[in-house]
Amino acid sequence: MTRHFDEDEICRWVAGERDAECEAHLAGCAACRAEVEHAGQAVSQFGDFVRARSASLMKASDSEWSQRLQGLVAPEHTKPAKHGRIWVLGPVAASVAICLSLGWCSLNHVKPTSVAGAVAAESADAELLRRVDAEVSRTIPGPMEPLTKLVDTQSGGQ
Amino acid sequence: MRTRVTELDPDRVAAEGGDFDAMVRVWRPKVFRFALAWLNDSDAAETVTQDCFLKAFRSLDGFRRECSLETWLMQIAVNLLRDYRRNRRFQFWKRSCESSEPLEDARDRIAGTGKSPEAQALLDEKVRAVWQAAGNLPDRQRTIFLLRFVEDMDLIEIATATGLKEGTVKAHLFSAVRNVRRQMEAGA
Repeated sequence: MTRHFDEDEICRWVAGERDAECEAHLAGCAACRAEVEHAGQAVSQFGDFVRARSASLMKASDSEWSQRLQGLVAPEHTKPAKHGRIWVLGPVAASVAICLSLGWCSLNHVKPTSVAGAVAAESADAELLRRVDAEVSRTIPGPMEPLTKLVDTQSGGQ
Repeated sequence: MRTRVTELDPDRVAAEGGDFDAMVRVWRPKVFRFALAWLNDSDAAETVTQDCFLKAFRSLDGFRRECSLETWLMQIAVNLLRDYRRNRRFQFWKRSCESSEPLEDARDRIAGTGKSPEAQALLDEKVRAVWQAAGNLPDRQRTIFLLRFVEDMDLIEIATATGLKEGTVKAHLFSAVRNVRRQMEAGA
């Protein structure tokens, strides 16, 4: 390379993109060397400055800072974990679902559908019918009462 | 803190060089420095640093060791800074430029400063100009510029921290340097 560095080549050099050809040119060209040194110095001084400034601006000590951080972290750890919440919310949701379905059944007078339930309901109906029959029988006129008692006795004996 | 983290994930934290306290002690300055360089506001940088370690603590289980713990922390910091910027809840740069903090404290700490007042003033001016120019860069360029020149991270580390390809990082870094130089020339 016989010509001087252009702006892009200076920027590349400062950014760290360096090849043998550029290095060879810089070795023999004081003007380009001064240029890239000046450019590199600006950013390196900036870096030095920020490092020094941050050291002077860090207010709290490490122990103070850790304690503060611990205070912020602690409440988080008292909360149940996400997977733990499932175990809490699951049974609650199931209980609510059961209550709602029972309520719906009672509101709509839904009869039990099991076989045992159906048999029990049928015998209850028969009992009720028998009692009604007896009541009706008792309302017959007085002269017929002895006959009614006789019928009751006969049906009780069967 | 130590007990809690150790209970949380003993192997991982131990393998990465100790406990969470040690993690804070070692990497807090780095995260704070990067946030400060990005925001030019020490209070905001402190908040971001705190958020970064909180987030790291909470997601330590999810750390898959695909990169170093240091790079992972920088990844979190980069995301936090990007989110802050995106949310526009903080007008950090604008505010901090309006009330720049004095440079003396930091200047005194820079090694080898035996400069004349004129040379020192020139250096201050140059540093301020670079910082101002960096603040005007697009977010991605700014992040890469600061990771390279403040944190001395190489291209591969920057690529990991930003989630970009190495070639993309190189291109952004070149653009960032060119933009900073242009702004400085325009301001001179």
